[in-house]
Amino acid sequence: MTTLLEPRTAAAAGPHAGPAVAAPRRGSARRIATRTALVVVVGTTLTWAVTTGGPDGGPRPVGVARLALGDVTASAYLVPRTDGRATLVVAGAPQVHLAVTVDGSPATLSTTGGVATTPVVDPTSPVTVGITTPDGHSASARIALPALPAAVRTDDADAWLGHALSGRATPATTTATQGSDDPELDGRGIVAGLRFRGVHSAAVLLPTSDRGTLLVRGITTAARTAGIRIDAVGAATEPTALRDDALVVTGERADAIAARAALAEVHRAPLYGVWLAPWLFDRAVLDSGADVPGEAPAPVVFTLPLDPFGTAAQAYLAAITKAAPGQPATYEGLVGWIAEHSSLAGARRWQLYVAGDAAFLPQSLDAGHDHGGPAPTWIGSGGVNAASTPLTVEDRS
Amino acid sequence: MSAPSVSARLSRRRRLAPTVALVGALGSAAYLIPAGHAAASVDVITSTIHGSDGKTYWATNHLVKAYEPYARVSRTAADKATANAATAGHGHEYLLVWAGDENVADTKGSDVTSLPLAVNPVKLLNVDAAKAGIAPDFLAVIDADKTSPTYGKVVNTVTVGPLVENEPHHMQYVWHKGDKVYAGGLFASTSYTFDVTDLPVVKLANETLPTDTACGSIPDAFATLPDHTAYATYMGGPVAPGPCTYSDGTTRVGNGYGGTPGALVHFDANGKVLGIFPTASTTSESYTVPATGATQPCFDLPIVVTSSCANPHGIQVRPDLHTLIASDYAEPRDIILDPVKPPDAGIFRDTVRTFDISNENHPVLRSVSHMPDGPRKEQNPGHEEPRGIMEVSVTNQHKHKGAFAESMCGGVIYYTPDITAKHPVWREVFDDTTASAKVIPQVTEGGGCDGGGWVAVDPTDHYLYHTVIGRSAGALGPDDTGSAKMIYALDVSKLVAAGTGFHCDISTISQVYDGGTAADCPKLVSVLPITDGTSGGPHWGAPDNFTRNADGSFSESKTWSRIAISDYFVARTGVDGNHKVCMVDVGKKGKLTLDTTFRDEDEGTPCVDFNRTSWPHGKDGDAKPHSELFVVAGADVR
Repeated sequence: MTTLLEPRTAAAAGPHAGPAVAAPRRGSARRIATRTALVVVVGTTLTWAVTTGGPDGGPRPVGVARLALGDVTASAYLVPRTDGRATLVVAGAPQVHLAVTVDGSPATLSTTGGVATTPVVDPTSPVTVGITTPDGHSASARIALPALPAAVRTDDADAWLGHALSGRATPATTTATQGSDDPELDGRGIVAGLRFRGVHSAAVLLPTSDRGTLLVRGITTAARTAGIRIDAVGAATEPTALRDDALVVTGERADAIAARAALAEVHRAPLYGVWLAPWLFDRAVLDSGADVPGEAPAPVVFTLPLDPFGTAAQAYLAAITKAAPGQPATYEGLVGWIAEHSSLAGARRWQLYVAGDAAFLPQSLDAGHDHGGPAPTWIGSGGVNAASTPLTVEDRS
Repeated sequence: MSAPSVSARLSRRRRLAPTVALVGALGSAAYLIPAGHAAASVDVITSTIHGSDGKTYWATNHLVKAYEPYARVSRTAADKATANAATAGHGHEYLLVWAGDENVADTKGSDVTSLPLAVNPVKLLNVDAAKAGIAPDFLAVIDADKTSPTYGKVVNTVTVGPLVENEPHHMQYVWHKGDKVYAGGLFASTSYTFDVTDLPVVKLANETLPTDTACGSIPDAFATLPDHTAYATYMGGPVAPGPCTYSDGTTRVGNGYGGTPGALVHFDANGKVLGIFPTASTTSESYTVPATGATQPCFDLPIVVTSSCANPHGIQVRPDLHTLIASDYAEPRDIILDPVKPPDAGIFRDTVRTFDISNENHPVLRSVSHMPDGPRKEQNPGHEEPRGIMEVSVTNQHKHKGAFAESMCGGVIYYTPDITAKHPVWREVFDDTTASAKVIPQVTEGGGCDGGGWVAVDPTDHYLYHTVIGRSAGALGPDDTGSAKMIYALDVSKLVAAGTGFHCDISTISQVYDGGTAADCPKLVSVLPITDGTSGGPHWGAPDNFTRNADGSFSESKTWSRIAISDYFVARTGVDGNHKVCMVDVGKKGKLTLDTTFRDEDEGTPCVDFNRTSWPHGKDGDAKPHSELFVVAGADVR
């Protein structure tokens, strides 16, 4: 897995990223010392991270700064908006009320769950973000939108953001653990869903990644036991793919989007729909093709090991909506969030889900309407719904 | 779904300081709800049920203590933490409005960038309202008693959870004593059942999930029966694509959520699913247009094995005729396609279905009728008269067997004199253009996709009322005059009285603007324009079907004295609205006038504005009122 974050020292990060740490105010230090017995004020800066939602759905840079103040830590993110401006997000421990300054001036905050969001700021020049505890201690760091490094996988960055939104994680140390935690088990989950629906045959679109390969391994092994025929196909519109009951996409975002588009173009879909790997459960895939004139995206089905409506998912959706306006929710982000708050294994509950685009009028009734705003949901126009009770997934034994 | 375990807990809190309300499903992500309604404190009463998925679902009342009639509620009863805060005997009528929280996804770019210049000394409005964030949908309980000092005030908001932002849609058309209130949410395919026995307190009686209605998705409208059970149209196809077996043992193949074919769901008197039934024929529903000989397909995307137009939206029942009628609007998932170059106008359905409900729990499809084309020749085939048959309304007198259907994209009204016939005869009897011309004499394409919605025939079968969203000027191009946003009334008495021998038929182009020439054609008796600068207009309506008795109780009325209308459609489709609920007085001969005494409590102007900073449940900001219903507490109805 690609290393996503390269935490750098201020010196290495260039002129925009150097930490500017304020000393604790006199008098206040005594109070904090008696409370924590630790009076260390540290400011560090991470120079970049990436996440999806940039132009053309590709990655976009997010400025990051991490601030530590004794036992109080906070992460600050400069999240670009589609209108060319940016929102400064400060995620701290939920129980701590932080006063935040931007370039030395108090910032007006919208606060929820320990996450504070400022109004939009000018992203063209670095800003200095500062935090102050109720005790009067403060720290600050400079933050800027950096250039995007090459060869960064965006879904890993999503997972990182899920971690970071919790306000607890140290992004640099958690990044490398992200991604689907068990692709082979995910493959077995898909077969459980196929069996639930009564599918007899499925075409599997060949994987394009290591995790996709593991997923296919899980599918083929479990399908053999379940008596489901699996055919490997190279394209979504191959005769075999349309003849089989279902098509399973095991690749990455681009593969899923391309498969949906190809099927939409021919107005066809497998009888039981297009089944997608869990990590493809995000808005970029769900909304793909919805705005193509004259075509309708093929219906998609997921067997997810994590509940997208559960407590953790709701918290994640709420946090990402508040903390990173415009940032789409992703499965990888949910993985990161859950990993940070509890355990993925403990949260696992397999269930079948479907996504539905739904609208009820042609757009001619409203000239110039656009739906470009960020949504606190998994999908832009429509919803995601459970289509089964919890499924039993065979383990490897 | 298990029986409701009403765990009523009542707490009182004064919203004098920021209050942290922990929304149960959100775990550690608590919502910070800042100071709420400035002048009112609320009592909070919650009822819960366990869903079929094992999760807990709830409805939470936020009763404004300062407002009548809740101020009269026995504090003793409340202190006992019982949900039965009875108001029996007070004789009070309420308007229930099913509304969704507006969030940032409902705001379009042009809303921000195209704001007209205006006097605005304050840079930002409602900056402390959480307009863009996640917040619960709710049932607003509005005082609808004209004699009350709190007429028009929101006396309670009943928030539902844990599902949020579910796009509240329709309830039943009319509430009768003993009925529950059935209410649907689009995005999560969830139907809520509310117990309104103890109004203004509302309890959650049941909640159905997509897994409870696997053969249908996207609940649209509800119709109740005398035994207090209810039917619902599920407009979209089976939740998961592929074959689905219904409660009657038959199977249809569908193309999935929001696709085709839709379904009929029968609920028991407490909202539990009794059965789900097919609305599609077992054979292809494509048909040959008589005038041209061309085949008109039911266009489904992706293609369905057996072509079907079954996407039921409007629903009405004539129990005395053992007949249910439903109209198909569109395959919901696919009508976001470019309307200028639609792959096929057949995406907008032109069909009306009748069902034999002699066995109420086994409705059987009796007929599928394609509405005839009219005299207009539209550039956009999706604007032709029969496109998008959204709503239907039955006649009510036992001697009458007729029904009306209206097209949302076609902008006309159809009529058949006998819905019990094996092959009902439908004709166009009115074009919305005739009404629109009273407001915009220079109107062009008055009916083309004008957004006709709610339609209802009064209990006397004398008048028909119809709301029309209208079309904003310029919507179709710079030369588009737009069409009127309005509610209008037709005298349909002669048409209904004519029986199967009726002559009315809008078949010539002159009748589009002038109205029908046959003696039994509907006569336009009143048009009430609705001022609205948004993309939407009045979509829905509900008649006040009650009259007050001398002793303060209520009885169902044989006439309608007023109609409540709501100005909102579905924001994410591109058609929003001004989010107002207005009261319209119905005078003699169907004359419609705005009730200017039904005023917003914050703005002091007519109509209750759902764009507001504060609600009894908190500062959640603007809300989207889709449908409404007049209801009287159970003990207050004779």
